[in-house]
Amino acid sequence: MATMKVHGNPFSMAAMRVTAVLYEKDLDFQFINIDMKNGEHKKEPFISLNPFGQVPAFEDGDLKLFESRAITKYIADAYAEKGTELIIKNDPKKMAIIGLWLEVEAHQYEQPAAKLARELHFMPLFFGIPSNPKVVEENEAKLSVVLGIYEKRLSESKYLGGECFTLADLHHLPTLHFLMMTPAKKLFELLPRVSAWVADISARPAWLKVIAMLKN
Amino acid sequence: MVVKVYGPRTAACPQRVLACLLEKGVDFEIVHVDLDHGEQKQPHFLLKQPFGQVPVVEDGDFRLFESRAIIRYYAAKHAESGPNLLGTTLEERAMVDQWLEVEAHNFNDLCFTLMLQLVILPKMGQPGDLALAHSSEQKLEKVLDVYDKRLSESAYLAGDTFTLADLSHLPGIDHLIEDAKMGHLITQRTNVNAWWQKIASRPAWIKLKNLIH
Repeated sequence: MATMKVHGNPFSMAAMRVTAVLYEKDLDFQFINIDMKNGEHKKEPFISLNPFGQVPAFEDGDLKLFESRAITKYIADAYAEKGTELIIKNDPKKMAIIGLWLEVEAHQYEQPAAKLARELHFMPLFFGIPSNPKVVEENEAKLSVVLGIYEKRLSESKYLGGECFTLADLHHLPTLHFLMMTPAKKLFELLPRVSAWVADISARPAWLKVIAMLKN
Repeated sequence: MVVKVYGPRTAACPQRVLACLLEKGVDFEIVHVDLDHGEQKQPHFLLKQPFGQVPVVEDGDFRLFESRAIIRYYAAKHAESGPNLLGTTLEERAMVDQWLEVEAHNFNDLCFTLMLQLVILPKMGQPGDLALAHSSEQKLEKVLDVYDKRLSESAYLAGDTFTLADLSHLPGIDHLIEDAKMGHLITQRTNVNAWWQKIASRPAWIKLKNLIH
């Protein structure tokens, strides 16, 4: 069986979502670095893997996929028996609740979180562009509201999707990692259950392997 | 027990759910939510949906929100009846997921920005940001160019048959054409136009359009 391939950049938050799942499931894969600085993701051969010119792209034998959240779902399903169970296959209602919080991450959390990570971490550190205070203020306010709802959810349930760690929690890890290196971490520190949840999921051995890729 | 769908029948996200329920032949009752007067932000509604958005679905004592989570649940629950909206093999399901993500991340925000600036804000008596609308339109053109190429290779987005990936686009494109007068985005692209004609003429969608009017 051909080794699975992830085409991306170690610092791409979307690519980190995919490598996190591969490590959780103890699956072998090859990481093919895409030189985004020189626009490699907007040209062939990458464009044939993702016509929208975005990382990551993924290959499992003949199957080619893009969109990180579709890739993670595929891996979680195709390799359900291996490593950590990241979805629930035999209980549609429990899986629907995981699905709900997957959508919440994608539609409520991701936008303000990713914007803050870019504004407070990537732009200053990688491009020397100072943060725009207006953008920061606006997105911190939005993220605060979302985290308030997470605080309540985590009083009812150990993890976002239910009693076990699932994709619904994992999808947050990449943005969380960078946000915790910025002043925006104060938003999380204000909330005890959210703080405990962040500490818990960030300490997972599989996640530490993803972060180790950043050091190389 | 009839599934309750909370939300105005004119709003895109409830329509996404209604389209799926109609495709699957699931009986439902629409419970109107007055968005114009902020009913969705009232305490009684926030108990159902803490982000203060529509739709919410109540099926007996099972409650769900986020339209794309709701359609996945019902498409799986009724996999055996009506059209197969999810795909059968792992690979088919992955393709449906991929194009559902494309709708959510590459199409939806641009579509919503156009609707907000060109239709919703003016309706509320506020000026829309025309420059933002124009740049969103240009970005959406590029996205639909990718769709056009995809639909030259494949009858529907995820493969040979109609799935949730196509269904998820119905309300947004309908609003773009009818309300934002952006029909040219569709008609100017041969394959996108052919695809739109096919999916918009499905009996379930026509039933929904009749329910709305």
